[in-house]
Amino acid sequence: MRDDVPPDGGADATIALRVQDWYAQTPAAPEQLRVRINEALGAVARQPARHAFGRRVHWSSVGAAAAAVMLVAVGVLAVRRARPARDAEISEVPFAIDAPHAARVALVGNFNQWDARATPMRRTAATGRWTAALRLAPGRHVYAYILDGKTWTVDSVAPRSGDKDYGSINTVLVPTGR
Amino acid sequence: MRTRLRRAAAMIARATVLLAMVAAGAGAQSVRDDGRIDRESLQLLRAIVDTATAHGLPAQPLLDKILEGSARNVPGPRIVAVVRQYAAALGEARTALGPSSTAPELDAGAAALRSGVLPAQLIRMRAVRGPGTAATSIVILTDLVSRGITTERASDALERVLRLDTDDSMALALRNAVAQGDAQASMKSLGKFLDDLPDSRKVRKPPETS
Amino acid sequence: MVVQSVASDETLVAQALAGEPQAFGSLVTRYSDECWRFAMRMLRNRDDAEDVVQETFLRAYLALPRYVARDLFRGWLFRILVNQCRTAMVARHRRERRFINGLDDEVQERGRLDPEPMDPQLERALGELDPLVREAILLKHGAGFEYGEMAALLGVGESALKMRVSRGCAQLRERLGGGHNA
Repeated sequence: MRDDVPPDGGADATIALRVQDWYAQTPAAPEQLRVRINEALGAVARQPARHAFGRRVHWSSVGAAAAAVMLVAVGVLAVRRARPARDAEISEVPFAIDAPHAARVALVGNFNQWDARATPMRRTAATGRWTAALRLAPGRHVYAYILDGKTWTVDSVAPRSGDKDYGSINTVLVPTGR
Repeated sequence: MRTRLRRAAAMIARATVLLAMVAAGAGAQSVRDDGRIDRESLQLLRAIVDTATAHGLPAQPLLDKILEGSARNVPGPRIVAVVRQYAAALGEARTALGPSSTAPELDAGAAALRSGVLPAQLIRMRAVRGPGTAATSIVILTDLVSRGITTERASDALERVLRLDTDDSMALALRNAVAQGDAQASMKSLGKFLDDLPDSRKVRKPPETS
Repeated sequence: MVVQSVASDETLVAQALAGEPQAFGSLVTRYSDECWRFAMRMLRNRDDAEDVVQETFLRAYLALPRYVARDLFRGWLFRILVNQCRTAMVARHRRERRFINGLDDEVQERGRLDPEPMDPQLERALGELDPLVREAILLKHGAGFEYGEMAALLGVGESALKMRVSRGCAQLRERLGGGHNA
């Protein structure tokens, strides 16, 4: 018996499940987001400890707090500047698999650390086809699908990785925009 | 409070080290430490990855193999064996494809070697595709082989097609044509694709190289 | 390098504080998707969500020396994230006070979350809830926090949070007409 089911049990559980499903289907974060976060952190890291905006700041508890605030401000500015005008190298790659009898399908691959929670796929009710689209950086990516949390499968038509070290996986290559 | 702030200052002040983090960026993988991989295997994996990177091989494909194995609940020793073999394959791929090869090329090359493609066939791919441009053809070669086409026949066919085009669109079309059928149909599809190439675009088979 | 790749949150935090270059990056990789998902569903606006997630990790990085090991890192990170979402919503409401059909005007202008929203009725109904109620529902039934974790995260008592979620679910039920269109 779940301890998080509220007193009026069933009705709230239906809503809870509906919210869960909808939440799990949130489109994935853009690949560039992680890049931008790292750029912003890098901008913060490049600030020397005792300087802020060209003035020497003594590293006291008060000064540190002020410097920290200014570093955050710089970081925010870096964030704003770091956003590229266009995602030139990131491509949106569609994934699809037919699994009409599955209740849920997850896309796993080297782009999401093979985490079954990261990329739940969306079902088209009429056809039983499950789809997802991910923005991927150029390079070779390998992936598979997990049906109902336990059965690993691949798309028989998509390129095969060949090495079955653990089981079959598919490959997709995202070209560089050259 | 003062000690914590000093630690913050020390952390922030290590600009060079942290910039390396930014530069590495996408290379910073992580795995949930849910105890799936035993400690001894972890140490062995760490050593394999460190050795590979010390030899200039890309670490990301090895980390991916670790993560995939962990996600599939593969026992630690098996993951170690796989990663060790894959690291060796990365090295062989670099020997075949050359030191200027990109990480995706090496990754694709390692997967190709693990699936039965011979180093000589990777060399043939490199002969028609310069550094940084061979990953697609290697992936296609691997796919053809995995569908039951002999490595020799697959690399012959692919090399012919790749010489016809500067991009890989025809090679991709070849792959798609073969992929539609089952294993028996694959060879027929391959042959038909080559036969159907327009006359003006057919080229003589390249001279045998030593 | 693989030292970080198989480490627990606490190990990564300790390594980051010790100056290990990739440790914080590993935490970013580990949690950026989760933070994104919550921010998107809370703010219903892509640009705001990106800014909030970036700001969250920035602040987490600067606040890392204050992190104590007994806090779960995920909860600690989400506390920052929740506060950033609240700040973003206040800023947005200051910029744009017109509401059309209960949806934030700016959300409409910047386009939907995705071209084929999975459950538009639920999205709309959630958007009409009091933000604190929506926040509690997303933390509980979206991000999957336990009430104890939420209490620590939000600084609100467990029973008050249960009431908030329960009330929110009742409101959703009412607005959705008690049925689920499959």
